[in-house]
Amino acid sequence: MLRWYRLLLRAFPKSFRARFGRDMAEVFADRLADARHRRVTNVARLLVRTGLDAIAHGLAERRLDRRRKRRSPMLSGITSDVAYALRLMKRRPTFTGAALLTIALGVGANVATFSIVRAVLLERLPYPEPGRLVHVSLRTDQSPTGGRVPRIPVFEFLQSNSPMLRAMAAAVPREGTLSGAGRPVHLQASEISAAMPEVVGLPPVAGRGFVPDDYRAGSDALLISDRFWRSYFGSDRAAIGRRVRFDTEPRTIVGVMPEAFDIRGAAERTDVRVDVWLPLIWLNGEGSIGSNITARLPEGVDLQTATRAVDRLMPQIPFDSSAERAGATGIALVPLEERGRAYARPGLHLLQGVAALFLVLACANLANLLLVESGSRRREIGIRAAAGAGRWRLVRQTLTEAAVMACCGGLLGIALASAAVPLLVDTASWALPRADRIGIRWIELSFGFALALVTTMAAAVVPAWIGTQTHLVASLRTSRQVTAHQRTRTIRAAFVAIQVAVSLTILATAGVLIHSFSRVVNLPLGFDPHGVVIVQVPAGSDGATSSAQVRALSRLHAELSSQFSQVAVANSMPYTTSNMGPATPASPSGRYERFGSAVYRRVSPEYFEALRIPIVRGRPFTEADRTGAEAVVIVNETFVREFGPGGEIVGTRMRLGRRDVTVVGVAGDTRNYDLTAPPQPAVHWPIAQQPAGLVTFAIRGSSVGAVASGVERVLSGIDPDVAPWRVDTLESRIRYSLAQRRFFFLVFLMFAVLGAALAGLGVYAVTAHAVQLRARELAIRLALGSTHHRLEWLAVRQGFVPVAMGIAAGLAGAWCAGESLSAHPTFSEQLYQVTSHDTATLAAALATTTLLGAAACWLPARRIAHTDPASALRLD
Amino acid sequence: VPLPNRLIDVDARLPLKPIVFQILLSLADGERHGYGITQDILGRTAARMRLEPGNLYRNLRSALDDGLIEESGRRPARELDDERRRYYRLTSFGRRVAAAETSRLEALVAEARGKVWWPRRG
Repeated sequence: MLRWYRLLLRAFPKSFRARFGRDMAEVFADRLADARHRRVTNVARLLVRTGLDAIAHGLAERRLDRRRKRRSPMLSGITSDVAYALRLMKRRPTFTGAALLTIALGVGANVATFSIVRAVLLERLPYPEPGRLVHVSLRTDQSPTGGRVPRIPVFEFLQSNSPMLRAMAAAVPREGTLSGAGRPVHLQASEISAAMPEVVGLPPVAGRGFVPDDYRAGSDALLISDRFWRSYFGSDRAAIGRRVRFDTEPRTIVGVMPEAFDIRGAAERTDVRVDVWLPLIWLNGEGSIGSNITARLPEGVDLQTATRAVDRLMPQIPFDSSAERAGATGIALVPLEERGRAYARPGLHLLQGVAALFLVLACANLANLLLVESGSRRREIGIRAAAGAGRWRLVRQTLTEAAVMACCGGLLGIALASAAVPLLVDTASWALPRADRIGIRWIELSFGFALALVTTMAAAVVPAWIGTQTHLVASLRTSRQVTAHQRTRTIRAAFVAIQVAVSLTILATAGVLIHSFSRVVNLPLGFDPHGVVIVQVPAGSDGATSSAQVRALSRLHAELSSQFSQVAVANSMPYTTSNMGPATPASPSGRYERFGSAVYRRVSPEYFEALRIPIVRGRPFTEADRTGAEAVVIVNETFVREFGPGGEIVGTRMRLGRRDVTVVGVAGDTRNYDLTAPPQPAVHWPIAQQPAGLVTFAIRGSSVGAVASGVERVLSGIDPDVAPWRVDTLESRIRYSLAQRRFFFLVFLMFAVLGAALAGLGVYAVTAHAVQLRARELAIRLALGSTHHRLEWLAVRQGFVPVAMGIAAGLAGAWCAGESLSAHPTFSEQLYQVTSHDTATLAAALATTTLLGAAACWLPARRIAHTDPASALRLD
Repeated sequence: VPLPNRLIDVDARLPLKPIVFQILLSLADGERHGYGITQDILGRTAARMRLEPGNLYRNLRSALDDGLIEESGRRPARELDDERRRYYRLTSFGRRVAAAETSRLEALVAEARGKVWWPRRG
């Protein structure tokens, strides 16, 4: 905001700025802080006021400056035009407000969209020659664009045999607890193979990067991120060389790397931030390789050449089995910059399209406002012409006014965008790559101003030309009862029709998304997340829990159970984690009937009660289901449908994996990660019979704060290596899973509402003006015996003609939009049980537009029909 | 080179622009910075006169140029002070001009009181 004001201060001459600029910015900052304490509208009012004030006084000061220096008359002509325009704006606050708001909304929406597009699609990655970075995977018959991860021997073969992939590195994500240097923290980490520094090409911020020695067994080197160095160690150089423990293993911090050293975070996801790097060591080709393999192509080699060269190695690749070789068709090299963008692009293009449509709407609205306005200034223009102003001079005056308006509106729009962008980023950060780069910078500022100027000029040209047509005598003689020329009326009607058409198109398109979103959020979860707090215990290094954690767990369970009534323990829960296991139920005779997999959950007896998952048949688990007792499971309904024996499943014995179990109950289905994904088959085991290392607690009827303090009390008495555990509500997990849908929903809802409001305002302004011009005629009709009703009906009928034309065009537009969008992957992905030609939605959009149009025609008609005919006749 | 203030006739500065007069009034009780002046004026005029920074500093500039006010070198107590801000105070010339403007307005008001401003009914 302050930056915005400093920019405005450039209206003042340099000497003035040097003398008072800083103080003025201070005053502005104080006022802003003041206004923020109160309300948002105050901030908006302050921005408009200080903006206009700075421009008006800045220009006046410049004029004073120039008068001292004597400058050319042409320029002074323009400054006086500008000053006049500012005075006019001040004198007509309603018109100015409406016009500025229109420009600001159109520009704001497009600047916000552009700032996202710039960051995500246009900006280069922060690496030297980022175009040389490629993601490496195997092409197969099923995925011809690549995607299968090569196994370690294949990776090593490619690295040593292809000169194209010499600089190739793998990164394996993991989590862990850093301790031994103050309070323990749970961090995202990444194990990276030896060539990573060469691939990334960024030098360390402090200390050193990994060297080949770090990849010998027994090495204890560890790198931390710049961000973590700053927040945890306060950028202290003594942190380098410090001994710490990571997941209880002793380590030494050897260096600090820039944040972009984490390629995946920089190129694709910004919601997972890696703060620790460890060497990735494979022993005899054993270990994990992850799915993020990146290579830096040699200098001067383009993608096709590299791909051809690598593909030539295919026959020699030492595949493990013939099955592995059979599917593989080649090596896929995908430019890293493209990888992150690819899935964001369709959505952003869609967003841009809607923003552009919205701009058209704003432009038409503005043109209409200006036309109406120029109509009411005929007399002034006539006087100017009579005094000797040429047509060009008059057009120049009008266009200068438009330019001034564009600047003010553009500023307001940029201010709107800079307020909206943080909100957007907040909702979008998990869904967009490089979301942290989104913001209002110089390029957005210039884009916003250019857009405001172009739009306003485009909208102002026709009104300027028509408005300055001077029929001298006619315009001077009469003031009010001159009705607009037929041509002007036609143009106005055309603008109204355009607005209605565009707004109906946006409304129908957005309506489909909104309809779909409302369907999705109303889908049954299968459990009741309301009021459930969950505590997740972080995974240890080897996937098992340390003895300290096991001790802490049992103590925590006892502690929590003493405080809260319903405490459930499970190794996995819906919307946290879901472990898969084999679901090859066989009768004890050993005959397999079906093959498949199911979600495995080890749960305590309270689990079903705490999450309110119904037991449909049979019984829930009890305390009696412990080790030594009969092995039992509870399956869910989908499991019964897919793998059930046909008859009653409760009481049957079956073999799951290597265990013989008895099914004692059937639970209801639950959605596990996405509302729209069909429920998966699930098997529940009593946790007492199948002890689990990693667990999640679910507590019903408590608050996050109470649980967190309970957890902290328990932890404070135990091993200092245990990092704080995550305490969260189950509902927030579900909200997170809906974030992408919600983002689209919110953006489109905003466009739809604003678009409809703009169109409604446009129709209202035109009808009000038309009716105003005919006030005298209507008064005469009334005096001659017509009724209020008839007059209202007359005005509505005539005002509604262009609205009806717009609706017809809008229906066609909505159909075309639906047609092209149904072919659009991101869009159709967002639709759930709704087609892009949803009749109900279209009908709703149609009804809304019709009602809005009718109301916008009727309101001014009613007002004019109810004025006293005598006063209307006396007007001139 | 501008003339020293004591050689300039106070009356040549009259009438003062209302905003300038308000600024002089604000500074009559002591030194203030820009924001302080706007807040003071806002309070005294029941929020009718709201000075935006551009307007304020242009008028401060002209008052400075006319020698009615000056920048103050002194600062209030350290804990109340804000290092970044510039403070202004009245010059003795400014005080004399403000006094002259006050008596001019007094005379004007006294004269106006003697008139009848609304036509009598009937």
